[in-house]
Amino acid sequence: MDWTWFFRLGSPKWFYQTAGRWLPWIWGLTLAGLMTGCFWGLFIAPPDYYQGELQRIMYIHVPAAYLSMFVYVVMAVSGAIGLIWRMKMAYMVSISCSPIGAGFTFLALATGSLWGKPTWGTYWVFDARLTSELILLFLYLGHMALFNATDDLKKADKSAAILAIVGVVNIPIIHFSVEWWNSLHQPASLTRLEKPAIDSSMLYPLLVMIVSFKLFFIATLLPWIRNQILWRERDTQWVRELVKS
Amino acid sequence: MMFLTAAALPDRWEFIWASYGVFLLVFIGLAIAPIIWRKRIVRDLKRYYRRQSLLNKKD
Repeated sequence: MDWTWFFRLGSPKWFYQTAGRWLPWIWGLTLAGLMTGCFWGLFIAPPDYYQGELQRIMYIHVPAAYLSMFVYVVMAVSGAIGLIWRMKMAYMVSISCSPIGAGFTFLALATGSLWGKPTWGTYWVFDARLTSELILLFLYLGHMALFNATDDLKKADKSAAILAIVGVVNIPIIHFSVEWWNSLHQPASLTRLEKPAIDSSMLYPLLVMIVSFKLFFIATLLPWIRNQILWRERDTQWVRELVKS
Repeated sequence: MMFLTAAALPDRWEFIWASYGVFLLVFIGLAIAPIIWRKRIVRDLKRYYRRQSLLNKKD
């Protein structure tokens, strides 16, 4: 198997140019997917027999909550790759993940709160699932703050990567919190090993939204990485020419 | 069936629209943040190169 493409990912110049070529296509797919998913979730999917129309919040809340954890894992793994193999591109990926992850976590908390008020009778309770998700938001904010706390880029990269790796312990806590503790929050409707607990008429728009949210993550991650490349590679000839043109 | 109908929650569309509204705001925020940051970086880089060329001339 030809691994040239994989090793090229380590080259900032190649990554910058390739990401720039791919971005319009990824954005096109993201917008098409999100518009389809939102329309399907809002107007076509049937209301739930118990929650009624309120279950339509699920098409935003579940993908946002899933992505909030997925982005954190990407951030921690790329931070670990940066620490172990000293790949500067991995550090750039790791630090670019935190603002996006914070956005998804905030969205999961806000939509969960808006779903909680009419179903549980309250916007917020210090329940295991909700609290661990709030800690995830603080971890993202802490990651950004730690990275920006010093002008020494190497030190900033390393300390942010260590925080990302340590904080990954929160991910299984969020995932299993509804099984380990008594919770107002319902258990997972989608698991990899079991048949989904929801009907296919609700499952398909949910899957469309999850895929679209993943595409949205890539569509926003690439510009953040490109910005990191521009700043870190500022003393190279190609960035100098790019900025001057 | 009677029990289920009686137990069903009232349809509170304001909460549904509020959720999709928050999503729209976060979507716009995440989409434009890197664009704004890029403009700042390009401006800072232009200043950086200008300062470097001035320092080189001085030497």
